[in-house]
Amino acid sequence: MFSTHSENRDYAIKPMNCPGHIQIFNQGLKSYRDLPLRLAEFGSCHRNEPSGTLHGLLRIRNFVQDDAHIFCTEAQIQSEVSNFIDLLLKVYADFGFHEVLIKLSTRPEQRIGGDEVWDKAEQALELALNHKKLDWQLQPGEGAFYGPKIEFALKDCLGRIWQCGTIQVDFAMPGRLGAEYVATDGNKQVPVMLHRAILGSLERFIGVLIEEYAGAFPVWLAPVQAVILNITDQQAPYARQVEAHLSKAGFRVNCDLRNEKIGLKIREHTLQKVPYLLVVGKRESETQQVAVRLRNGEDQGAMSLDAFTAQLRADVADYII
Amino acid sequence: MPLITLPDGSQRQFEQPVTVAQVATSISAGLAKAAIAGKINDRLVDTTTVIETDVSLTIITDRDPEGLEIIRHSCAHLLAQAVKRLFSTAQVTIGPVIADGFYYDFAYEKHFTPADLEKIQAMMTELAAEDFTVTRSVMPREEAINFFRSQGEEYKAQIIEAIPSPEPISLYQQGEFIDLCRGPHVPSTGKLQAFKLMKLAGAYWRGDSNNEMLQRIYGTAWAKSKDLQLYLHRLEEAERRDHRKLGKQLDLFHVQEEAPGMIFWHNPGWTVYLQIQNYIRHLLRQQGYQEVHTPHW
Repeated sequence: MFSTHSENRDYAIKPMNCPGHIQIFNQGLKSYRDLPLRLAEFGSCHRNEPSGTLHGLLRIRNFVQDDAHIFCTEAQIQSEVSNFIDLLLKVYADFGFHEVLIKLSTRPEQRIGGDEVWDKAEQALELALNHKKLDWQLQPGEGAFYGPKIEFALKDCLGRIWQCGTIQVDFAMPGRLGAEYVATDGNKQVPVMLHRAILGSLERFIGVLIEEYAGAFPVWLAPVQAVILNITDQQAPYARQVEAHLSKAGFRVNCDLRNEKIGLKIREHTLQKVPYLLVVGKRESETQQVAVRLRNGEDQGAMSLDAFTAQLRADVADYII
Repeated sequence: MPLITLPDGSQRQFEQPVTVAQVATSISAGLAKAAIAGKINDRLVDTTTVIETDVSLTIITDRDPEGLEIIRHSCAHLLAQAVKRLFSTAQVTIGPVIADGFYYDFAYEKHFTPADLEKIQAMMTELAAEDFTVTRSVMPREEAINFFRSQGEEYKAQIIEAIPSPEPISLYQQGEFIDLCRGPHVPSTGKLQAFKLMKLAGAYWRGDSNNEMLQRIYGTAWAKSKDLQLYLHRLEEAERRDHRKLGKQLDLFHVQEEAPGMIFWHNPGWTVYLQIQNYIRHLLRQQGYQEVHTPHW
């Protein structure tokens, strides 16, 4: 952990977001009607990893988690876990990962909370998995002292395993930090907290994605989705017009108007792994078309600007709203 | 007389004690040739292990994960033998199996070079071709300590001294080379066909930075040369896809020494980052999450 000091007080730079979310939960009286309460944060965390272990985006000291904490009752654990698993599998599939390895870790020797509570929580996690007919592996005794957890790892195109997602039941922290709600019977109760993340750290996940895609991001993620290349200076105004049109339609596009051979421009942007290369020559500018090439070299031929815009829209439709 | 139960449930009765290798031979010549080790009641043993009682037995070949593990372990010994042949004053220490291969740590006054690795690799190939029989023997503790000390192998002597006293010390010999080892090992060095030395690194004796620095040689080993080629291809592909290399090439991000473990996102990389964040953000909203933001300290 990193720490700092100001006006005679010591401060820690947060290595996790959970205590912060409990502070928000604790503002104002909560009742059972407020549960489940799901607080999400793209939370920046600092952890002082040994310098020898740092590695590109994969192991770093300042990272952002797609973190969230769900405050709920014991009875709500199963449905919350179930919804989370659906969301996680959808996200992984959207990024192209269809093979997910799942591990359920149960009570360790040293733990807090009675056996009855653990029984219920472990059963809730197990049922959530089984109702979806998912394959999973049991890791007896591997849970945290404060509750059982499920871990999700994805397999990349080289067969490497990356542990990314997790959902973890916590019986300890809400009570320790004074979280409570008014139950149906009017008594105060301590909520259960579920820690969950899908990607883990955004930086690390992007590192995994770069390697999975070998830098060729799918259209919805690509930094530049299309680049417009003019053949001669005469088509520069038309190229700018195409750029403005696509940009206004919400796409990330660039023009390359350099006075270079078209072959060189195509080569350079192919190496930059831009999904669409739009070549505009005399004919295209006269007919309001673009000649579409893909980064894999495939030539899709000339099409109207509207037809190309529709194609781009279709490419990203499933991901962007 | 031993009644041996095989994995398919069939049983074989033998008139006298038999070795794992003899059982394999009694099943088929092919299996006898492929046998790397045996598994007696879940305990891995050498093919020369004698069976005297009723047991269940699996013949381990290079198709079994345990077989591959043994091949890798035996490759570590082969590496040590090759180093001792080429650099007689090098001392051997430990040589375990790791993911996809093995390593061996040596104490040696000079630094090994990449050219040395090539020589060692060639020597390993030669030693494998000689097809030395690998034999196990047991030695009393004190005798083993004295033996390694007399050979100038101070580290091995220390390893044995650290083993709790009553345990018998097992040694494995191939040709002139003798190493302390629990085993099991391949029956002969000819079984080692697909290996490659990968890199050199430093490592502290017993992993303690107060101790002297040793030289670690990493290698990879596989059952078949086809598997080795596939592995090397996978490594090459991983290298081609290395996110640090692509991060530079595509202008996505950089890191620099002044801020170790912290990312400078360039516009193209940050665009990807924001896309992902917004995609997740949208899904969370649909799922009834409330986005918040809390202080960093």
